[in-house]
Amino acid sequence: MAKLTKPSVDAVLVGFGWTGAIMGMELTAAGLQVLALERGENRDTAPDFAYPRITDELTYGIRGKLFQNLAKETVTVRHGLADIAVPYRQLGSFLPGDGVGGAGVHWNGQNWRALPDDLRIRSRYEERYGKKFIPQDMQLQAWGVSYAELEPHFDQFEKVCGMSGKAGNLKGVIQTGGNPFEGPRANEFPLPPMAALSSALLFDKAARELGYHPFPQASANASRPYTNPHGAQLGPCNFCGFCERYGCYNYSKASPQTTLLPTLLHRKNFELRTRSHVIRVNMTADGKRATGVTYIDAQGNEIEQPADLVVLCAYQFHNVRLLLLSNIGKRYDPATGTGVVGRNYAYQLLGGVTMFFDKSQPMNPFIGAGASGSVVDDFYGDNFDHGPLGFIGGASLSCINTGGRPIQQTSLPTGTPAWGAGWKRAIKDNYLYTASIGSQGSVMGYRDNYLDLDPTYKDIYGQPLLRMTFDWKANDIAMTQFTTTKLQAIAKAMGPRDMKVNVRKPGDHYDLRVYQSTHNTGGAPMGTDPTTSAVNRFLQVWDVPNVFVMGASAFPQNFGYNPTGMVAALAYWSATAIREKYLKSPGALA
Amino acid sequence: MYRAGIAATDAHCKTTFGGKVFATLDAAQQDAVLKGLESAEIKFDTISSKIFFTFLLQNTKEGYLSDPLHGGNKDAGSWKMIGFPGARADYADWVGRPNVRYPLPPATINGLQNQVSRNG
Repeated sequence: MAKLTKPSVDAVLVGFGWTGAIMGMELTAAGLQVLALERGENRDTAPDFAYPRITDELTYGIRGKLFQNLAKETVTVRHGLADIAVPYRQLGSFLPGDGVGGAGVHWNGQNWRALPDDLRIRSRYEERYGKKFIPQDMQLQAWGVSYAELEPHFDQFEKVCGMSGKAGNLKGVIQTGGNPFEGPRANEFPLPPMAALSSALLFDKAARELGYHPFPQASANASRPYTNPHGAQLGPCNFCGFCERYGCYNYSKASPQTTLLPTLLHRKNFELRTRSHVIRVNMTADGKRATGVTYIDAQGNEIEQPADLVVLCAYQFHNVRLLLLSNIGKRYDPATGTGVVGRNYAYQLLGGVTMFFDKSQPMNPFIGAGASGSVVDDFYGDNFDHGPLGFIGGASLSCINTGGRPIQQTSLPTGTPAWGAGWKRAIKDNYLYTASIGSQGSVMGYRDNYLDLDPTYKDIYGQPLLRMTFDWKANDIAMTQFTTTKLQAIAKAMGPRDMKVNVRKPGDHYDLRVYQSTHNTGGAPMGTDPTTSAVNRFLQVWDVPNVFVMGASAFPQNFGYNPTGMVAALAYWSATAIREKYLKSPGALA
Repeated sequence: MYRAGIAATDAHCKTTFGGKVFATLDAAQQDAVLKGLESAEIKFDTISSKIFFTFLLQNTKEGYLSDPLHGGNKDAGSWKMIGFPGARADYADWVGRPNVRYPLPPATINGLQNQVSRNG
């Protein structure tokens, strides 16, 4: 196929999900000529997410029509340094996105702000528990950005999305009904919380009786009609129960398509090219500047796209892989713990309890929304005393019912036969009467959990796949054992006739086959020390000032929260630094 | 997987049940064969009987519980049995009404199933 060179642009964005759309809005507003390259197809509410076709569980929820095609490119995975990694060929543990809007199309819309102490986690633990409290192999590190610095950007994203919720802390004053542990907010949520589902009402009451502080989940499913600051309109969520894994047919879930693209796609200084797969960032001979990117277009042509500024806006592990493929930054070496690109890959550790209620209490599980529910933050962050427990981190505990789609979301009591007449009787007796609650736990960074390039396997373009080396560690298993016990106590207080607990135990290994979380983080951590971070506190690559890296790849360790609120706030924070500082004097910002 | 798995299952049945293939066995015999595949007590030369069974079970449940447009779940029978309203996907009026059963039968992507008599 032909090799072509396109005219240069001011800024090229690699990937066009949430961070690409945010950067596109901000950099075009600054007057730059901006080009977004998206490897997947163009997608929008109509026709791609239209009713009733989108309610097809088998096509979207199980076969994953909106997700990355793993036959073209995937990651390889192994548990430890001595193991041989094998490709992730069937969607299981995580569901990377594809196409315009990225995973911002098929997320649930559960929104969180980081706790102020999350961002200075090492200092917090050292101050309260002493330096020896931190395990030897745990690479616990600060983000280099404070909650106060990010607050206006959390606020901005919440306004863009029409976030529904209740403030727990307004300018330092604790508010009844919100999360009392959250950092101070300048403003109340743009919309009131979503209506409470049957299961959430039980959870709220049970948690309150146990002395905890439940509050409505902050939600990017609109609770009322809303017009955002860019003029995009959202309609109230109708609890259709087809949220995560699906696009929203109702213009209720905030996505790039429903909030930013109606404005951005009409700007004269913006261009989107879909089916354009970036294979590397091109560098000057001395490796100190990027000159643009090279991508493969839909016809298979290799296109060189010069640009003054390169912003990586792809999913977490694609960003890390592009840095590695382009020889940007020093590669992480787990043998010595030195190097930065690939460092501190992390994930999340989840627990769950499924409850089965009496026939007098139908839960109607199909009435669901991605982010409608009740949450407890008492056992996350340092909101409880870790001293006697001996672990770092925690979990948010939640009762969020996203739907009752029968193939994926049916759970039956322990002892139910897997098939046959017994299975059929059990699904008939339990489907309507089932509710689930979960713990979403943090995972820290460790010396031998990391990302690099696979020595064997390649993608369809002949480039090495990313290799993920990851397994559970004792600290995080202790966290999930403790927080899931708390979850179980809430479940019991909700009064089911039977329940089933799912919790990881010491010695358990990471199981790639089962869906857990698409909250993969790290690999290009941000920070203030170039020996432990790949990007500075403005998400700018150390030593390559015209490359910025968005996304959860910047997380030095993971939260017990959904990451999108933080990912979006960091994108706005970085965009502000580019607009106010970098464009006036292009160079290193830190 | 299916070509090899079905052929091997029928070969096993013919040997064990006097020349009968799986489809012609009675229900108890069929259950016994399926249990043998699940536990890998029945072994195939070509593929893993256990992996074949895992695929078979997963795909059978998918067909049974998915929208009838995929060819299974005739007349949305499984949805009627468990109480899933299928493609209705619009429940704003039913939120916050604990202990009340949703009253309507399922809709499918291609419309309502057998709800209105053709004779009116």
